Amino acid sequence: MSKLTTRDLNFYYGDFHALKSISLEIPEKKVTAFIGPSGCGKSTLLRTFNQMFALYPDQRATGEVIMNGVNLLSGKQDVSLLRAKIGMVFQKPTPFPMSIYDNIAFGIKLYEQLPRSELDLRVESALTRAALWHEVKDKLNQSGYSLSGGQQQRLCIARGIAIEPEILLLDEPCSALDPISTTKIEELITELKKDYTVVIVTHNMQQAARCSDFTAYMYLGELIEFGKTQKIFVKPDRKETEDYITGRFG
Amino acid sequence: MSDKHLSTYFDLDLKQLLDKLIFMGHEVEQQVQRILSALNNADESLIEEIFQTEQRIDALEVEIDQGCSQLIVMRQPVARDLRFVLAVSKAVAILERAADETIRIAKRIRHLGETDSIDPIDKKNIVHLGEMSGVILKHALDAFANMDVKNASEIMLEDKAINLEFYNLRDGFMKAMKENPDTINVYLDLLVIVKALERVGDYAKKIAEFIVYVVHGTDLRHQQ
Amino acid sequence: MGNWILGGLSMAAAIFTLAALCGVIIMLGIQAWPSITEFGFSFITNSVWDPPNNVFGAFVPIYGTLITSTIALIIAIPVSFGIALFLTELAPAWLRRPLGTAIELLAAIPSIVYGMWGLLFFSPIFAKYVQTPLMNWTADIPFLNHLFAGAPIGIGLFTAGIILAIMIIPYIASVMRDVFEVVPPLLKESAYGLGCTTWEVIWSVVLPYTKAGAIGGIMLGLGRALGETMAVTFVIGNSNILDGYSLFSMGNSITSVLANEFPEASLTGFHQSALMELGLILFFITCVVLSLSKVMLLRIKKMGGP
Repeated sequence: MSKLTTRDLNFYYGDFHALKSISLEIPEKKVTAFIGPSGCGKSTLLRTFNQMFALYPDQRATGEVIMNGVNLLSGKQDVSLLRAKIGMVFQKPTPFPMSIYDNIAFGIKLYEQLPRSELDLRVESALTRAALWHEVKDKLNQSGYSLSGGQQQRLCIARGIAIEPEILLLDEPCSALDPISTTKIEELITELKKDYTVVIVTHNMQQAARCSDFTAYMYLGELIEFGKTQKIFVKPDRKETEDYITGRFG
Repeated sequence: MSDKHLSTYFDLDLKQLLDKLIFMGHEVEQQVQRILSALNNADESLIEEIFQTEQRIDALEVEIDQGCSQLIVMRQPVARDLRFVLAVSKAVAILERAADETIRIAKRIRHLGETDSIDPIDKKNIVHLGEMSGVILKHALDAFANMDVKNASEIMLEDKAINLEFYNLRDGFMKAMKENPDTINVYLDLLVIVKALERVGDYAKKIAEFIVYVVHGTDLRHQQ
Repeated sequence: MGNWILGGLSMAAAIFTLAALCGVIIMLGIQAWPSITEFGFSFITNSVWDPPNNVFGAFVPIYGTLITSTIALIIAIPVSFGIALFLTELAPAWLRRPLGTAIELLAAIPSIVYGMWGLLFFSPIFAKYVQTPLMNWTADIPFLNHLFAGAPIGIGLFTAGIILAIMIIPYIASVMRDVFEVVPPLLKESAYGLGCTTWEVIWSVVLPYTKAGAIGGIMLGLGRALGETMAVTFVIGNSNILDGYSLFSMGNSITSVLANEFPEASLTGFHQSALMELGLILFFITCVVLSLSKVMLLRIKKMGGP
């Protein structure tokens, strides 16, 4: 069952053709990993899903990105509502300049007017699902910046899931983290796929192998191969994929 | 392993693993040759040499297995590299078992004592079977060294021929035993010997199957 | 050896600055001492400034300085915020540079030019099109009718405040623009990612993130407004008499008084000493503003700034 489908998706940074006719089906409640060398377009593809590119005037996309049967590129959707359905976490932790509690509550308050007690519950639930609650429950009023890098990243994930998105996009979420924090985040990703469709961009192939169900290999803006992670890492169909993942790329 | 890795040391590690495996394979091959010589002339020193070589082969098995686990830890191989390391790790066990078969034969030869008690025609047929086993083993090792899928399929055919030869010999032995119960002692030993030689052919075929697994990723085991 | 020389030189520079500061304070204190002992605290509260009779109360210029600066900030902060916001978030890329440069150029205009422009060009227009309608409109509203009372002559505290606002806008706006620009794009995208509108991103994320820098910019503007002399002298009216608290009435500021009266202050009596005390008070006000801003920044840091 596919959650998000792209058909003939092209993307341009000004004159630069960054994504070339990408057609892809992202399965629901599974973890899909995008791998490929720097500049292959994997992050760009992610940013196309949640229309982040619309913030920048010289970036544009053609083709179709279909979620729940609706083409998101048709321009008929409310971009803010759309982004709320597709949460995103970035390379570096980006806590907001406010308390830990408010970092989570902020997003919820954008959409719902809740009494304080109910808001408390939502904040706790988001932090719990992000495996952070026990570490921060006694200092909810401290600044988000007081946390360690790994905790900040989990705070950002909690913030993303607090507004109950349908899809969670993770753009190299562990690139700035130490191995222990990375393991915790990977653990969390596996937990999260029970409720969400997760898409993760990673430079770390072992990470893709560890925590994804499906893997897409991209190169120079093209989707080279997409398939079950097991298959990609044991016997990919395309030689380009095999060369890249075995380190024969150069 | 045609293309090169970004890491030349990775290439080197894989090459070393392969070289050691092939070296071990040649040792087993020589064991088969020694067996054939011993069949013609049950020289005790030759049999002693076979037992000593077996110890070297066992040591090689352990060494190559360690190399495999070390490479997995250091390089976390995936895809073709992963399949290659897995294949080496299994092929090494297969070769060790092939070597065990030669030991089994050596023991039978020693038990037979003077090989003059063997019917010359039987002896000729057994040596022929042994030569076939030696050749198939050599072919399998050569194909593995070059990851040659085409020769791998020919090896499967060679194994079939060996099996046929084995069945013929076995039927002949049974017939002879029925005709002359006094020869049962000798023929039982000979049966063990030809069965062991046939097994060597089977092991060579398994190694050929690993070549297909490494190159195409398809598992041919237990398929007809 | 080289390290020693560099260390010594830089330390000498630092000590020199500190010594100059202390020297100024001590000099001001000594010179102002006769006035301080004579008038005491009433110097600040008394609104009679009468050099011929040797009576000096500095309430009018202190009030003028504070009120004009306050008006300037009330106008300049939102305008600068709007400009900075427009320049960093909303303006099309081709407009950002020229507009930014134009605003920075405003800061390059000499203050005396602002003064002349304010007096000759701005104040007549202000009197006719702003003061008069505003007075008519607020005539029946209590409090406001007092705030906007008096003759619509175009010059006075309010005009001075507006001119000051125009003068400090480029400072505040360019600092705000700079701090807005250093907000990590990922932070903004995170907020957009939650589904925030541009306004929500600015208000809830960009502004809190840049609080420290923005306050620094405002303080820079305030410091400039408190110390500005020439432009204010042209348009404030230079009157040492305060009638009522109308923002349209003429008044005086500390710096204007100093500029106007210092050359002819008699050495006998307390006139010069009183002017020195005014200078000391201005110095004190600036110090207080600076300390307050430091305290504020510290608190922001504690509350969870970046």
